[in-house]
Amino acid sequence: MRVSTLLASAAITAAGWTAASAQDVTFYYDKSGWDEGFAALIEGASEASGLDIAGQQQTPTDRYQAYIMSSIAGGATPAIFTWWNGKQLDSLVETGEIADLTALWDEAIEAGWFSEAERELFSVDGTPYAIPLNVARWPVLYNKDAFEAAGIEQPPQSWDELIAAADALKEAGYVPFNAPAVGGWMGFIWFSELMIRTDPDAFVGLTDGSVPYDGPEVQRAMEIWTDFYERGYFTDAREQDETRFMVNEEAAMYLIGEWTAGILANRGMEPGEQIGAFLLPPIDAETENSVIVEAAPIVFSADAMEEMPALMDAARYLMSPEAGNALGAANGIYSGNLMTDAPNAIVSDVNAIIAEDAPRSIVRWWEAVPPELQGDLVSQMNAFMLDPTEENAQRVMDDMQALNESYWAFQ
Amino acid sequence: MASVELKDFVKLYGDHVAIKGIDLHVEDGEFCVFVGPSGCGKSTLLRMIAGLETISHGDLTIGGRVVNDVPSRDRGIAMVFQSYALYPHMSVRDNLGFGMRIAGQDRAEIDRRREGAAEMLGLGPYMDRRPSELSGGQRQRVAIGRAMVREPEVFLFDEPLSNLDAKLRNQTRLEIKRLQQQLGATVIFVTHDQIEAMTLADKIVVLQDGLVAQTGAPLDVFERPRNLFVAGFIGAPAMNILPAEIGEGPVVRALGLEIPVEDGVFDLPLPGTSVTLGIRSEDIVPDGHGQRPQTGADVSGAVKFSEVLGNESLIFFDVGGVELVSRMQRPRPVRAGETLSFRIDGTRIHLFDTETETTLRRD
Amino acid sequence: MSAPLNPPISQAIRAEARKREIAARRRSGRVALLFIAPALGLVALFLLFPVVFNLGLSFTRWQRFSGLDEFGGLMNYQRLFMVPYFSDVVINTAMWVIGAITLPLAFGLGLALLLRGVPGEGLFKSLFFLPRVLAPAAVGTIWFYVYAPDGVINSLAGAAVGQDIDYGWLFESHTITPAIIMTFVWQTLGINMVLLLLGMAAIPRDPIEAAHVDGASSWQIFRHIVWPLLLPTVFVVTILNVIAGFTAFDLIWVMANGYPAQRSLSLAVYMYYETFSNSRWAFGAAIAVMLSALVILVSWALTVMQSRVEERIR
Ligand SMILES: Nc1ncnc2c1ncn2[C@@H]1O[C@H](COP(=O)(O)OP(=O)(O)OP(=O)(O)O)[C@@H](O)[C@H]1O
Ligand SMILES: [Mg+2]
Repeated sequence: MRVSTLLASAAITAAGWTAASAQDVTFYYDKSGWDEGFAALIEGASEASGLDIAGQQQTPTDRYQAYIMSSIAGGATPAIFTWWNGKQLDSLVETGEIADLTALWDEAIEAGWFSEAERELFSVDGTPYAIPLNVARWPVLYNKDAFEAAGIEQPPQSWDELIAAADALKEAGYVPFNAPAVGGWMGFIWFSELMIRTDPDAFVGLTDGSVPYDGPEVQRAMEIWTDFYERGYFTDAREQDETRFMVNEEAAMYLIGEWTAGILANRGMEPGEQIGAFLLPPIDAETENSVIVEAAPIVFSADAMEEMPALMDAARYLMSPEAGNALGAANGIYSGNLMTDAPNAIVSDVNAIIAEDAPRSIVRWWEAVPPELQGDLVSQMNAFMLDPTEENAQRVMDDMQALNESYWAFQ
Repeated sequence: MASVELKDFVKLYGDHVAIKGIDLHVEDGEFCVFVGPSGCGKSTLLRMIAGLETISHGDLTIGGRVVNDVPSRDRGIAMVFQSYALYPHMSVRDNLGFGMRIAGQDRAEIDRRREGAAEMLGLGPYMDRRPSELSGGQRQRVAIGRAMVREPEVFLFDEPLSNLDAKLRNQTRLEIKRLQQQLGATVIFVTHDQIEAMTLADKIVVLQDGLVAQTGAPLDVFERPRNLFVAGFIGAPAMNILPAEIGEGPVVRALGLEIPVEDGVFDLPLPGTSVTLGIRSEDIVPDGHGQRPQTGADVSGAVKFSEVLGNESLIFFDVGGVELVSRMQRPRPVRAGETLSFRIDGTRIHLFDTETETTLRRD
Repeated sequence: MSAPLNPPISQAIRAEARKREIAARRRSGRVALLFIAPALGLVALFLLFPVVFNLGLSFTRWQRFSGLDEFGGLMNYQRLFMVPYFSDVVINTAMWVIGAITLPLAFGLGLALLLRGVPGEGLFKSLFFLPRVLAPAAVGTIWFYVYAPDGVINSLAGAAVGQDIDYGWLFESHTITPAIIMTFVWQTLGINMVLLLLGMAAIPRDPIEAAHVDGASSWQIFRHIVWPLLLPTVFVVTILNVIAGFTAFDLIWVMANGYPAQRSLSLAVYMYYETFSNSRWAFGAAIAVMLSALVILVSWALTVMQSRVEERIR
């Protein structure tokens, strides 16, 4: 009965959403730990628009999604809220409730705040429907002392160098990679990375059903993953403290979103001093260089936009370098705005790498995959990490493909 | 069959001493009745024999074997509980058969004994009912039946007839007696009903406050109570007890009367000594009713009230502020306030030492 | 003995008697209704309404943002049987229900028999009861670390065999459900034991004494006297356990945190997973309906059995 009561109350609250609000506009979000940043954003947006905007945090994420979804289903779309890009944004936009932000993006690109690449991240069928709350690239964070201790002079530039570095680190007593599987979602990290380093197009194909999860492309990625486990490159996936092995310097590298730099900084590892970043190199020289990008969008209700044209000023502010700097200063988060200051050394390192290598931006698997498949598939990837054997790899691929097939068969 | 021997029995419930040192021998095949007022320890004693209470001190011997530490089930006894203690979830049939069934008796034997008991106790119509569907008396009969079918060496009965109506009680009493004689079983039977005790017992054990007040054959206990307690407890209505004094010659002075006493029956103390006099109601004979005692003393008093019992009446009358009760044979109606004359039978009086409350009668 | 005379009771008198009975019942019924009306209102608002709402939902196509107004018929119910890992869910739920019924009952009964009448019974009772008053989420968290690769269980086992053990009890498909069930047993043992002790205390002493005298051994007394008389309590305990087993959620949610396939851990968790993680509201509602139906069915069967048994004992 738990569920039905929850749903019922969600629906009831949703119905009274706009009526009950004393504020002009409520800004809903689920990102915890960014309170200061959100406070600054909301204050700035209120000032810029002249609207009375209030922030409202809702956690955990599944409750938050349930809340937003049932509100929209009940015809009471929140005026401003954070969401996810990729397929999540596609299905949100399909409802027809989300405001088209083409004009705003045109302005922003004109002003040099963003490039077409970012616009693409927030677009559905070429039309932008969201502005960035933040943009995070997924580099490898590494412990500079460990590299030094292992005699590694510079971050690996090729796959061979990577393997050599990993072996050297092992030799020096480190586990090369910290690879936790906490919270039920981290399984896709290495899976995606190995896919884009072998075949970025196949990776994109996975997310739209054109490439199977048990085909030769995935087989190859899984072989490398299994091999890495065999070589002892990864930490114990059962560890529940995701940064522990980095902080206690048992592990030397950590493939993760760049926002983790802030977490490590809080635990005493200074970005730039102790922590550096590099992009994992492609496995074959001819493979296209790419980077996984995670982007958190802010969306606006089309109806609210129509009722309150001033909301567009709030949106404009939220895209601005001032907003980006406010979030960066408050929480060390990078908004993706090209005219903001990098909030820490890792972000500026990654900015530099991207400026130099111009890798292809690839939407993170979590957002790119159809939401209905997300949980089922990532469970399988987690299951592999807990039992990283060849047989299990095969079983995981078979199961993933079975799930994938049955999903696409219904579309 | 088996005799039962209690040696220096003591029972402590924490600090409370319920049984204070009892020695008793029950012969093989003897029908022994425990009587005593409520709370004197009858059930406790029985439960110690049954093995349901530990024996705090002393030894219990059944059939020549010391069984202090032998569990109930190996003592060769059967017991009828004061509270029936039927198995509430079993039919009467199963209640009767349970003991034999777990002992692994064969079916035919179980059925034979069960039918026998059912017939004797009139349980036939109720065999498929559960205890909750029976009246108190019916339950009691099931409890008796359950003990009977086990054909034990020693039967323990804890007031088994208390819930039966008068007619059924008489019947069942007879059945129990007959059964005991048939089986030749040793029986220990608790009651506080005098008639039951008298009619059933080969031996009566009168208990008082955790101790044996007197042991003996029914008539013995009735005729020669060893102390004031037994005298007062045995017989209904209770014996008239009054202060008296030894007079000159074999007489007792009481109520301003001189009651002559038979020679050689009592160890009389010196004249002038205070004693306690006991006279049973039937030994105060109203004039004109029954046989007038030869030796004795005449007394008259005003009737306070009377209890009509049918074949006799109990007359309560007042003599100088002391109330006495007399038994009137072939009674006539008596009014309160009427003055009647009586004669006290001097040959049947009881005398007790006032101090020790023990009898002055010679053995 | 002559039978007493039975004066004839006329049809008129019988009819009158019936009428009076009904009137009396109706009078007390009206008063009762008055008293329970507020409670009924609350039940309707917070239980009945959501139940009906939920039932309605289960026939829609509502998932993610839309479909609340589209009728899906039995689609969601059929879908349940098409889920590739449905058999896992069923097996796990069955393990939960069977484990939740039998283990706390068996251990609770054993403890109750052991503890009955020993000095310090009260202390032991509270000790075993203690886990019950902890929130399941807290219990789950504690046990998560007890079962951890470097947790207490492995340390003890390691010390016993003299080598390091870092088995991941909660990370292996064949130990995770039993491990969580054992935690559940740890938590519910106390209440089972206390209820059984209460049930035993209510059993009169004298049939047991009678059975002693009747020649029964301790085991026979338990088997033939105590157990049958304890059955009504056992049923109550069982119904509580069944419901707890079917709806086990918090413990699993917390303890299976590190385990990949949360959905396969029980029907209740699967329901939550489909509803909130996959946003399949209507499907989740259908699972909730199935789960409720199962719980109601099993509880009802047990209640019927219980009343049969009680009738036999009364
Ligand atoms: N379990 C017990 N704990 C403490 N005292 C007890 C216990 N059972 C009996 N007694 C006490 O021991 C004494 C004897 O009790 P018992 O039951 O033997 O009396 P009884 O002679 O059978 O009385 P009745 O005729 O009323 O059945 C009483 O004072 C009673 O209060
Ligand atoms: Mg008694």
